[in-house]
Amino acid sequence: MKNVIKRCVSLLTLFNDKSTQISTEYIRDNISSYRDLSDSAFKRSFERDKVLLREMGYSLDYVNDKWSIDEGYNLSGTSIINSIKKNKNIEFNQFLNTYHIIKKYIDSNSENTNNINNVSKLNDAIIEKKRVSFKYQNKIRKVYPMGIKFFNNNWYLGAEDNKKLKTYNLNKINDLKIGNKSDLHDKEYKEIKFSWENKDHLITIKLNLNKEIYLINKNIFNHSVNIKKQKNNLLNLEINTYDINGLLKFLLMTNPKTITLRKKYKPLLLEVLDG
Amino acid sequence: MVKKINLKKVGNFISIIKLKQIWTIDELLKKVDINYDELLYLLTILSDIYSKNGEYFLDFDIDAENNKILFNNTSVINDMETVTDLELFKVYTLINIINLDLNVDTLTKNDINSFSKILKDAFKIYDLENENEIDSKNINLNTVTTIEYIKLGNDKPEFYDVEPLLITSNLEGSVLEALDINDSKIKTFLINRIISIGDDINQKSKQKYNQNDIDVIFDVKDDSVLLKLNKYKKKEKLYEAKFRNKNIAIEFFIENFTSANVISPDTVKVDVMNRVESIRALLTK
Repeated sequence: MKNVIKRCVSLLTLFNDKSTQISTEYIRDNISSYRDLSDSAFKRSFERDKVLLREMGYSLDYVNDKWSIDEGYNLSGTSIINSIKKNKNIEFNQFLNTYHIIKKYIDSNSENTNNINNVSKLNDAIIEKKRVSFKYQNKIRKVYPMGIKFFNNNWYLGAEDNKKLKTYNLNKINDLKIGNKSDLHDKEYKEIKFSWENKDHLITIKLNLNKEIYLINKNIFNHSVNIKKQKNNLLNLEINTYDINGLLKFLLMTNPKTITLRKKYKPLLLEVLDG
Repeated sequence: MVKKINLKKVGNFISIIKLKQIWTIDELLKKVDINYDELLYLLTILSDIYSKNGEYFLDFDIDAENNKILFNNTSVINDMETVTDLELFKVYTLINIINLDLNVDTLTKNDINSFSKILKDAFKIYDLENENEIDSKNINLNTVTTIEYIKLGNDKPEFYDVEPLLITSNLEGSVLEALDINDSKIKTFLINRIISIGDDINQKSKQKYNQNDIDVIFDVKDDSVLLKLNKYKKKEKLYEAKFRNKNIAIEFFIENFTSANVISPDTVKVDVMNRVESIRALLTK
């Protein structure tokens, strides 16, 4: 482990000096513990070190733009802390100090279902107004990312796809690729609505269910509460939602005693139920 | 004894020593959360690294007599950023799951709020204000309290006297690790399933659910459901996973009904299908 740590820190210092388009040969020549390795041993070590750095949040990506003469590795993954550091309105040392105190009480090293390793690249693409592509539920999507939001223990990307704002669960985003061109749009959204369907349906539904069951399941789906009445431990709710999949999951989890909703919305929920 | 020093620990150490030049050794050990041997181990590794210009990566002097350590930080170390976006994002996520109060003299609630606000602005994060009810769970770390909690697979709350220790996450979601005062054991509580927190909870008698674990065979319509399982085996076109008890299995397959179907055992399959049919009946009325 000692050598691995040394190599990884050396890699980071190398990108400190020259942060863009570093060739594989340059990396090998400038890090002593790589230099003496055979080609195959170097390749194995380098790939392993890249994975370790990725787990920490660094992305070491090979950039090979067909329109550019330069090619080589770029290091990214620290743009947020760098932007905070440059912001004159923020007392950086105080920020860092708070970060280190909080870190002692929360454990961010644990395994997490959230596929949030992409978040740094996505955030850069949002800020630089780039287009991204990724695989989502077996389809390739090419979208303009607008923002991210957290809901029910999952992070979602809000992105414009064919001039419509849609939400994508970060867990299900694979093969993310970021476009090269910046400033491709000047759009800004004040809010990101969850949109599971191509066409939005605002559903109003009345429910009668146990209070505790509502409390532990209410974050399953995005909704607003219009009316809430409590009698003993039973809640009478009227809610609005656009999230048909989430509403169905909520109904399955909470098993309400009664449901009242307009006839035209029932087939939508039954369609999801029948897959 | 040197416990496992990994790259994250090294990154954390580098980030901390940049905060100031002279440290008392005790303060540094506390801040980095390591012991003296681990400090020496870290210093040995880092002092063996040079920049490509031959400059030392880390230059330090230990004054053991006065319990002090001085870092002559070079430009290489000052320019290196070891706090990654991913790390900040994970911290942001965890501190926003719950209204967190740390029992620390050097940190106020305002500090945490302003830290969170800086991150929210730096990341392009949209929140859920005006769209949903905001949770008002307020956890005082290191202060004994009572929590009302519904275990996975159950629908009745139980009450625990706990000392909250740490906020973290696992495959089932965000988690509070806390010392159960009555059992003297550290237990994990899913934050989503904590109904209320506080000393004035009207406690009811505890109900124990002792059930055996259960293996469930299922097929999958959406592979992402497998990410929610700790362990599973592939059996030709089907999958098998172990659950802590029958109720947890039933709840898992109800929650993921559109992504996975139970094949066996019937005890789980029947309960899941009963729930589905009861919702179908409500929707076809």
